[in-house]
Amino acid sequence: MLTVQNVTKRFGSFTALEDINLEFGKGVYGLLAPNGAGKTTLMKMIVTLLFPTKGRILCDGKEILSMGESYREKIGYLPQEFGYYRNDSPRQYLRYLGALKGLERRAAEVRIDGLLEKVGLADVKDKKMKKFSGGMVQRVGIAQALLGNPEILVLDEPTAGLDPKERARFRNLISEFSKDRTVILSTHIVSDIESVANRIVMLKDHSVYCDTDCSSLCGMMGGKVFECSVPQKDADSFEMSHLVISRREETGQTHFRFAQDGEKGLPPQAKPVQPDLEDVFLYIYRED
Amino acid sequence: MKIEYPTPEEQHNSIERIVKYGLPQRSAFAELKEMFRSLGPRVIFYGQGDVMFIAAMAVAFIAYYLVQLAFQPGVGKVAPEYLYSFLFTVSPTMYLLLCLLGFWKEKLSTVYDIKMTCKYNVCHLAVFRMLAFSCANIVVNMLTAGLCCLLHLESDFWRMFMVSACGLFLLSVLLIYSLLFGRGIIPPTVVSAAWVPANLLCNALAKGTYWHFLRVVPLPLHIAVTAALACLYIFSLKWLFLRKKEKVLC
Repeated sequence: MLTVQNVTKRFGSFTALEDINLEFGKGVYGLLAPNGAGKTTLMKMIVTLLFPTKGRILCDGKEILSMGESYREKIGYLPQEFGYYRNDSPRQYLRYLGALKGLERRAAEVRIDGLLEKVGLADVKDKKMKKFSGGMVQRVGIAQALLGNPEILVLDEPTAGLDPKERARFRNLISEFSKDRTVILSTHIVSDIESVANRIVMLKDHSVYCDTDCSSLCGMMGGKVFECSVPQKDADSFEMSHLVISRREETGQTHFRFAQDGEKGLPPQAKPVQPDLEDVFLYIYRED
Repeated sequence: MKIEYPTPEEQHNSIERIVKYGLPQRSAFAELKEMFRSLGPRVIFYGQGDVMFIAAMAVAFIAYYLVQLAFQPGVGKVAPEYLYSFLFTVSPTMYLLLCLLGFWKEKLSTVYDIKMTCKYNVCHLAVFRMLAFSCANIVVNMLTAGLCCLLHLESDFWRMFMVSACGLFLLSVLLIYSLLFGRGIIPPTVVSAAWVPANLLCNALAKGTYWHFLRVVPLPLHIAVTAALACLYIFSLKWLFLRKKEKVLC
C-alpha cells in the first residue's frame, strides 16, 4: 500500500501540489489532469526523483525516502520523456538497466527475452535503437519499467507515440500485470484509462479533485451530456454558446455532443446520452 | 486471557525490525564492494569512454609540456618553486576532468531519470567512479613525479609526489563538499573552474607562503596534511554514498 500523506510540493514561490492525500493499493490507478496540473510532479515524488516540500509518502507504513534502495527495488518507472542510448540495441540497453536494478545476469537475460516478446520487439532485439520509430522506443521504455518485476509501476504518458494496435497491446499488458500489483499511470488518452483503470484520480488547482472509480465519475455527469443536430449555418453560433465535446459534419447538418448543467437554453432536439470519461474530463476542466 | 495473533503485516514489520537491528550493518565500503561485484567495471564505467579519452589527452599534454620544459634550449634549470606550484596545480587534472565531465554527461543524459530510480543509481555510480579516478590519479601523479626526476627537472621524488597528492586530495575534498552542500552541478563546476585561478592568485599575491608550504615545509608535515585530507575525502565519499538529497548531481 502506497500512501501519499499531506504532500505539498513547491518550486520557489510556485506551488505545484497542495496537500495531496491519496492511497494506492493493488490495481490500476489512472491519473487524469490537463498539462501543468502536477501529474508528473506527483509521479516523480512517488519514485523519489523529487522530495515533498511538506508531508510524506509511505510504502507499507515506511517512509520511502528512508527506505533507499529497498524501495527502488520495488518500483518500475517510465518517464514522460523516455531516454535511451541511441547506439544500443534493446537487449544491450535492458541488460545495462537490469544490472543497475540489481538483477542477476542469467535471470535478467530470460526476463529481457520474455519482455521483448511481450512488447512485440523480439525481431529487432539486436538492432540499434537509433533506427527505431517513436512507438518502438516507447515499447522499450515499457519493457524497462517491467524489467525488475516491480510491485509498484509508475508510467507517465506510456501510450504517447503508440498506434491503436500498440495501445491495445499495452492495455492488455497492464491488465495482466496489475493483478497483484500497483500500477499508476497518467495519460491524456482518456480511452486508455477508461478501459483498464480501477480508480481514477483527477487533479485540479494543484489538489485532488476526486478519487473514485470510472462509473461513479461518469455518473457525476448523468443528465448533463446531450447530442443534437443543428443546421450548418447555425453551427458556429451553437459552438460559441455551449460546451461542445465533439462536432461532426454531416450533409447539411452539424452533429454536436455537448455538456450542459440544467435545461435552460437546451435546444428542443437535444437528447440526453450516457456520459463517458472524456465528457467528464472536458466538463471538469472547461475553464482551464 | 486471550492473546491476539499478529496480523501478517505486524509479523512482517517485526521480522524486518529484528533483521534491521539484529544483523550486523554493512559499511558504505562493503556496499561499494558489493556493488562492484554485482555490476562489474563495464556497467560502472558505461558510456564514460569519451570522458576518459579527454582526460588521457590532458595527461599526455602535461607530460609533453614537462618534456618540452626539460629540453627547451637556451633556458637554465627550471626554478623548483615554479615546478612545485605547477605540479600542485595540475596534479588533479585527470581526476577533475573525469569527475566533472562525467557529472555533466549524466546531467545532460536523457537516461538520468531512469537511472536514478534503479537500485544502484547515479549517485552510487558517481561515488565509485570518484574513488576509482582518485586512485588512478595517484598513480599518474607518481608517474609524473618519476618523469620529472627522469628529466632531471627535480631530484626529490617523494616531495614532488606528496605535493601532487596534496593538491589532488584538497581539490577532491572541495569537490565533494560542493556536491554535499551545494545544489545541483553548478557548485562543483565553479569549484573546478576556480582551482587554477586560485592557485595562480596564490602564486602572484602570496608567493612567499605558497612556495614555503610547497618547497620548504618538512616532508613529514606534508605527509600528515595529505593523509588528513585523504581521510576527510574518504569520509565525505561515504557521506555522499549514504546521503539522501533531491538534487545531488542535477
